Amino acid sequence: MNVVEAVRALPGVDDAAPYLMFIRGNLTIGGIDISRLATNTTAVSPENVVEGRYLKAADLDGVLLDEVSAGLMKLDVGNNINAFNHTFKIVGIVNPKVFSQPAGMADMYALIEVVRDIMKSDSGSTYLMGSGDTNVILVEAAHVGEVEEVDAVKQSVLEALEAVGEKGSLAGYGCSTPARVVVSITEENAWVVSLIVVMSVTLFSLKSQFGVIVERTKEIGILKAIGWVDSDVMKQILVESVLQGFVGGLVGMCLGYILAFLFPLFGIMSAEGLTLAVSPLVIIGGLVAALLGGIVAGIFPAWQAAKL
Amino acid sequence: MEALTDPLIETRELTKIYPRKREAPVVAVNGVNIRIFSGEFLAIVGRSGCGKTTLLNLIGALDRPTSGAVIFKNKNLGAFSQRDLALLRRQKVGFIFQTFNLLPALTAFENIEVALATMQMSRDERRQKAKTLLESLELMDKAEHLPLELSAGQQQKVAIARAMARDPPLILADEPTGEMDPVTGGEIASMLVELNQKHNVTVVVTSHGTFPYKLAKRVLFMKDGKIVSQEQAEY
Repeated sequence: MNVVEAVRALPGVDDAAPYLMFIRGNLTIGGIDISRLATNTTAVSPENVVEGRYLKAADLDGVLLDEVSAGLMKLDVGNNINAFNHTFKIVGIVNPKVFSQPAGMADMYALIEVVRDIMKSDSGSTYLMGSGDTNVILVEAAHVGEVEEVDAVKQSVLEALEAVGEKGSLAGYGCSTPARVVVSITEENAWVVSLIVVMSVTLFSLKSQFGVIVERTKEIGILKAIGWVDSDVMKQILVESVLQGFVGGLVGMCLGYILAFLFPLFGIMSAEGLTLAVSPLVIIGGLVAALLGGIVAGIFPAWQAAKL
Repeated sequence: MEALTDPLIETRELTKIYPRKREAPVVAVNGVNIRIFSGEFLAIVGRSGCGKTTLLNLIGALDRPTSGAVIFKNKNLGAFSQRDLALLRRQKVGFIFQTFNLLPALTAFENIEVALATMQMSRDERRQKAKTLLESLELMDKAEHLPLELSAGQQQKVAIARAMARDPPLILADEPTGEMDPVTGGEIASMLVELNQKHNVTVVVTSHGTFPYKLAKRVLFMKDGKIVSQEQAEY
């Protein structure tokens, strides 16, 4: 039984996966076993892919490039990258952000067997454990919410390494559900929350408009006395409501954009290191929603005003 | 003065009753039969609550009668839709109210402009018309003033300008001098007389005594919703 299997067999361990980290110059490559749960939960998973696809077992020349590194190197899916005396083809761009500490983070990720071959052929290769399978073991603990149980797992992993004559240290551990999944759930629900907010604001605006119509009864009467027909009155009220919606949407859009810009400057981020980003589609959608809200909030009060 | 032969407006057994929840209904106008001729200056005089304002509103198509008819240029207004009545008011009638009823958020200039907003006119034409009217009233220096910044007389002058903006053949003035001193009231009255005599506008004025109704060519006296007597000035 190799060291990874030994750790996997420990009580309180859901899974253990071999992980090779190789550094040359200013580039780090992570060799991953794509079949293991521990790889997905503690290094990189298919859910972290932002462009392209995840690695497949046949991708001997394939590599996943970290999103930040891709931006710095101005590389994209389909491009080739020469690194570690190897030409890789970029099959996907990933954004793990799973860790609060970048223990397993690398600039690029390839199949572990590919990285192992690279390391073996490299005269200055780093230390490989035991049979040379790995230099990092990724561990997925069974009860991640319970500190005492996790501490017990940590202790047993260290003891297991000692037993096979290896010295190790534990660096960083994360929750079993990748943070990106949590964030994506939040992002999806954000649309629902936004819809509820828009509906609430529209209803409030509708109530406000009705109140305004009552206050303007005399004014509407004067306009009708001087020759305004019902449609003139209705148009006036509706245009006012739509303008209010538009101006409100514009102000909200500018304020939201400014806040999204300021948040990272003041270090306001999530625990996973995420901050706000503004999508043009969201901006346009917000403005359209504000306009539609103005129409909806104004149309019935406008009709009521015309009937005064 | 032209011969007054064709009635511009005629009322036939015109009646307006306001129902009350726990009281007897109020008969504001009770079977009124009158004729108003083109180019005439008519005053309807009576105590407060005798039905003058209601009669004026019915004549001006601001309200619908409970029974009877208002015939405007041989057309029964009872057959008109709300939209048609509004168009009639737009094209044929100018209203002047006791409390001026200027739009408080608009300047004097804009209050006149708003009367032209629904006309088929360019913005420049509208503004020029408003300017001409204000100049004729010697109120151009008050053009950018809000109604609150104007005296009672000035507000009523602006209201007259607004009523005249669309060149209506008929002006209905409900107690136009009720909110001002006699001197200013006299000026307003003179303006209405000038409209009638120089521009051949038919003017109907109601008054409970504040308007110098002797300036009118014909005076109808109203009591308890009925016309009780009439005076005619000698030509």
